[in-house]
Amino acid sequence: MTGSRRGAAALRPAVLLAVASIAGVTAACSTTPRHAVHVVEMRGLQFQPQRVEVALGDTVVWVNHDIVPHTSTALDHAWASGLIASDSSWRAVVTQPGVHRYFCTLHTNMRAEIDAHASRG
Amino acid sequence: MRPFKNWFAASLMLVFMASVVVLGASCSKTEKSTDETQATNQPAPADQTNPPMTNTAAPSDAEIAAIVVAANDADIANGRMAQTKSGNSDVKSFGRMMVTDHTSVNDKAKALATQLNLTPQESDASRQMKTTQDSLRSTLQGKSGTEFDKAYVNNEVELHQMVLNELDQNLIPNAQNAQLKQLLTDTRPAIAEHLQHARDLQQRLGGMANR
Repeated sequence: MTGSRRGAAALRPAVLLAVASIAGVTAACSTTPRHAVHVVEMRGLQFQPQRVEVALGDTVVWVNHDIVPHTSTALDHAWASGLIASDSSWRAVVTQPGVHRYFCTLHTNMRAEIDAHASRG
Repeated sequence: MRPFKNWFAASLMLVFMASVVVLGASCSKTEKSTDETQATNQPAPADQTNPPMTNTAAPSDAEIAAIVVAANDADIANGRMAQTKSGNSDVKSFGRMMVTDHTSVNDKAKALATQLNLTPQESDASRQMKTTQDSLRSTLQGKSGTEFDKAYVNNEVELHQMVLNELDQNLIPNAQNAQLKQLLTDTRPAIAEHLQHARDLQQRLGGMANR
């Protein structure tokens, strides 16, 4: 999973490879797969929704509506956003299948999960 | 209108309860409470004074702004001290969260005050907040190790409970400007989270002993 803050690129080599692979596959197809964008709101010191199902390649955007900063940090270390300031957002592309549980390192009662499938549907 | 009447009453209760705790030192273990309102009955530090509150009128928006800034400034300073003095990773982490969160709230409050052309106005309440917390930090400066950790965390429980009560009973109801009222309302969940976090930490540190 790779993340970016307000569109800033922070891609790692493994992810670039994954993106390149996807690009290669899609180039061979007559139709371009559409990757969804899922929004998780940080509001009232909760992640909403608590669980999001995504397909690999989808983007998840965390939007902080609270007055205090938060983080989105995977328990399995798949991603770590760093501080997401109030009224800011951070996004990541899901590249690894499985159930990723994550939390806010500042407010550790804030917990949720992302269930990533190989394909949609 | 009852600005700070409950706070004052709670302060008197806290002093009374502190005396009870000193007399009943053999019962140092305190049950963890999940009811936010029950925390007002927890004892104040024996070495912390709570001068009487003299405010009898509803605070103006300018006074509310000053109270918000004073409370945030106090908790930021407390948190910085915890990060410096504590050797406990949980306490340090809590202190770091206090600095981060209350700095964010303060930035929002100051930006709103500027936007509204609202100059924070000191009141007995904001002055007492500063005096009490300055005094507490002087006391904390002389403590170390577990004694410091417990005194710091105990104060954080009391401070956040007091702020939560004030938000609910005084500041939010009396705020006239809609944006200020919304900022106070938005702040509440963070204060409630801090209170619960501080209580959990207090419990892990062994309750209320070693003030």
